[in-house]
Amino acid sequence: MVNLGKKELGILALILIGIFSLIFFGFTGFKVVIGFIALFFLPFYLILDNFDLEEGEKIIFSLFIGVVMFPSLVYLLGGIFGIRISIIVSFVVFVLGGLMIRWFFSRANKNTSDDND
Amino acid sequence: MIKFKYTQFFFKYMRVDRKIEFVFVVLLYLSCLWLWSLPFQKNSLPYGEVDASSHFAVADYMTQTDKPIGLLPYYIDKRYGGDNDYKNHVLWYHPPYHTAFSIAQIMGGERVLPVFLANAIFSSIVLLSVYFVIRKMFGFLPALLSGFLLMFSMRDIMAYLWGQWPERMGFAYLPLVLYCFYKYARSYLDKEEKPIYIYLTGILLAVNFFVHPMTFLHTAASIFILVILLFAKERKLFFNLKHVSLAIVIFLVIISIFPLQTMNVVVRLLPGGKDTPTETNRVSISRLFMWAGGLSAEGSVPDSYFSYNQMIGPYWTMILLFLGVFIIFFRRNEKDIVLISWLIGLYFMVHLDVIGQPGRVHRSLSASAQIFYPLIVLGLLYLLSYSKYLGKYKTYLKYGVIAIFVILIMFSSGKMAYSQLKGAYGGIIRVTPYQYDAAEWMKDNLPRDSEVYQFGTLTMAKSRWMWMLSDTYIIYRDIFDERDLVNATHILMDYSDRAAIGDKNTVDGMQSWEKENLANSTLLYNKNNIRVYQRG
Repeated sequence: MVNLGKKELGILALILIGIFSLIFFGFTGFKVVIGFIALFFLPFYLILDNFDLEEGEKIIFSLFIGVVMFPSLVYLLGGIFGIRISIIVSFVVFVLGGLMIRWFFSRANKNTSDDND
Repeated sequence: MIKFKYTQFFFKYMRVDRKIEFVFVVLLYLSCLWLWSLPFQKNSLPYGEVDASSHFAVADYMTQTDKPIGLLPYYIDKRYGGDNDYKNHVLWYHPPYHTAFSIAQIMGGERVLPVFLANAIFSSIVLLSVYFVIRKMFGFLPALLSGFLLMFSMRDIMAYLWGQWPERMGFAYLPLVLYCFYKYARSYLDKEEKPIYIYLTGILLAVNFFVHPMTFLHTAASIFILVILLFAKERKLFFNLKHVSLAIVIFLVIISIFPLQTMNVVVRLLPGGKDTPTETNRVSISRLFMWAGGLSAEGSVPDSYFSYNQMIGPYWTMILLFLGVFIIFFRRNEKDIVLISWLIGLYFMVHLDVIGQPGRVHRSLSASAQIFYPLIVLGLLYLLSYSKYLGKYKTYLKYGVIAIFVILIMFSSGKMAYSQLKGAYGGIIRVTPYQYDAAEWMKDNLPRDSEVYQFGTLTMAKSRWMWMLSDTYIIYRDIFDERDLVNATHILMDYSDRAAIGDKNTVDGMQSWEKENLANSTLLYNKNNIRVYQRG
């Protein structure tokens, strides 16, 4: 049996979902579904991936938090940038947030291990 | 003493590779999405009752203007201007749900299909949350069967079709919040504190509140029961006050992002608010001994909505349900206590009419399947745990019975769900292409403060859709009253539905009225048996 890693499995699921959307909802549906995964799920997975949670927990909580928190920021920024630009800005904000948390945690871990040395 | 061996049974016989399970879950969810999207796969014109069009309108306005909706535009304000009890004329719902629809429209580049697809995704994700929590607590097979049953939950499907959209999604948060709280309590009791779970509880509760306040109350009721039951079981504190305080702060900070909508909920729940119990709404205490019995939604839902057989599953599943309930109450381990809290919380919400809470009880009822199905599955698997006495045939019997169970459900609940979804809002029950075109024309050509009096369209729901699709206030009455015409700037004569059903009497009546009253008006639009006049 092919030994699939986390990344490969994610790509396989994405392909399945993408093909499904394309068949039943056309290119419009494909854009909506893939867009949702990219905007609502990925940035929040990047954030939760920094915490001591099981893989399934990270996936589910990212989805259920992202689907509401992402549009919340889009709405709040929409008054300044407009909804369309806010989608991009919000994506950048949450992705940067995830990367910053990762950087912060890795630095904190490094400091702890240096202290131990 | 009765021994409950079925947990071992799952792990012994259903140890599934995590990666295969992941693919399984994706396929299960996609099957559900395929089923639930049947109403718009072949015909992507809008459908649903009046609530559906309101959700569409809020999102659509944001997409069209590229601005968040704060103060309601004229055509939405005419109907919903008073729905925010804290501050009239502003958005009455928390905005994220509708902003997500707007994002879908922008991503998809279309007006209607993206909203209906997003709604199908949001309404069906309850399958994922129930699967996840049951998987974590009771194993793969109970989770898989519970998810499978949820695909066919008729009460969920009906509310989804009618337009109680945010409510469908809101109920999906309840099991996740309970799970996070339980995980935190467990970690505390094990002296391996994981505060992340209590922070997630706070975040998910706030998110739940944004999606739909009523579903948040369901979650809050169940959490409250869980706290009491865990305390009764452990007889000691199972949380760190510092962690819980921080979780509460997180919750409060998040819900304060949208103060006008949050205050709308608060005002409604305060004494004298719209959602507070009143003496006149109180029903007989005998309701406490029934589930859906004695409930009435005064014609807003069909009688079948209160039927176990037609909403949850065949009557024989009720035996398994009672067995499942018996098991969790008899055994009462910590995981059972989570389910007990969920069930008691729901029982409380479904019986609020006993204390006089108006109007919401029948909607709470639509959260039944999410806990009933796992209990049915637990009941079934408990029965199967006795197959161990059958020696070498036990494995065949177990999987044989599960296969029969699945087949029976497919041919009862599955068949019913399929035909309901496949035939939903068929023909002229939904907005027709002619009406859609007319609505689009009105959007592009009429002043935004127009008031259009509409004749002939078959149902109020369709008229409301035309209202929201045209961004124009449309007056529609079942019974014609001359007084409604006073402020009308335009008249919409819609013969298309009546012609399609051969309603000659109405067509004749409309034609003679048109001749008598609109002779001096300017005909602006005349296509496909639909005319729009500007009044002279």
